[in-house]
Amino acid sequence: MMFPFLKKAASNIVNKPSTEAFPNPAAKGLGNYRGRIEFYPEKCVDCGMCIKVCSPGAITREETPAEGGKNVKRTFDLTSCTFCGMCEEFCDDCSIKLSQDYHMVEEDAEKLCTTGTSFIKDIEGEIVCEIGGCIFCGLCMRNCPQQTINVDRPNKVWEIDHEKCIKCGICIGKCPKKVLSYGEPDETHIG
Amino acid sequence: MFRKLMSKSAMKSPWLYHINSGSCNGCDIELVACLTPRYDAERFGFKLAGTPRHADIVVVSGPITSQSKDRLVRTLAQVPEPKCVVSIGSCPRSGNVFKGSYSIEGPLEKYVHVDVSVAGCTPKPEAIMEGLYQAAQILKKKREVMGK
Repeated sequence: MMFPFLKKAASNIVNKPSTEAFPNPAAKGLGNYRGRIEFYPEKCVDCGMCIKVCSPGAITREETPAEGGKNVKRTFDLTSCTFCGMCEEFCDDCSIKLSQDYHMVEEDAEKLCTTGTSFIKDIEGEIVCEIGGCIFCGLCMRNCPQQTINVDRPNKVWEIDHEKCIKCGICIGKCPKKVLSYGEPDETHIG
Repeated sequence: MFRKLMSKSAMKSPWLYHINSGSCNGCDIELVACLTPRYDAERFGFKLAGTPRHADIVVVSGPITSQSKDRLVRTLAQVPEPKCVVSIGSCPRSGNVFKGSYSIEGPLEKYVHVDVSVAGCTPKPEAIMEGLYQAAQILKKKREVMGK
């Protein structure tokens, strides 16, 4: 073909320009793009894992007492965030999500914050383990955000540090034998 | 009248000056991508200027290292008024993961008022475009105020 560009030139008459349209507020990042943080405070149990894993320290927590519990306000500072997605990955309750929204442009940097207040109910009793049913698998120990539980499988020991425990209840959900619960330690329950 | 014409034309073509104050290069390549035909910031009149004395909009990336601090302050002082400062990425606003390091002298707000901040690490070129466009609008207002 002598003029290979002719075909392209002819098609370009009807084609749209390759330049992206602007502004396009509905556009989203593709694939696994990690953008603006979305926080669902009603799902949060205030385990504090997100704050621990956040490398730039972009997540702050503010506690105010309320009737029958406490109000915990979490602030995700997007001008400090490095969008690594660790908080989302470590959140046990799926209350943090990095959306594909990349339109994070503000004149006032205060607006570049995601906030949410979750109500954390006061729980009576402590985490206890039913001795008979426990298989000492150690899942509760591995998933505890405060490292309060110690499981020694060979010696069949299950221990918890009640002073450090924040009663997030993640261990109860993770237990495959459902032997963990809130209660008071007695002959059949250790805690 | 000549002055009026100058200011009107300058409004339509804000020139950019890019300062890298210790950035990892992520935001810098996205800013360059912004000027390519795919995103084409030049359709709004943006153009990279070679010297801060020609610039209207200053784009800062990076967490402001102690080595680059003096240069940053000096360069910002050379930009004629009215100017507009745009911060790209998390670093200039807060220091990002380098926050608290012995060699970081940020945030940028300590040295100059930041007009527009673009969040992201790194922001997409589309987001940078939005930031630049917003900066151009602010610049327009500043010019109008100065003209009166």
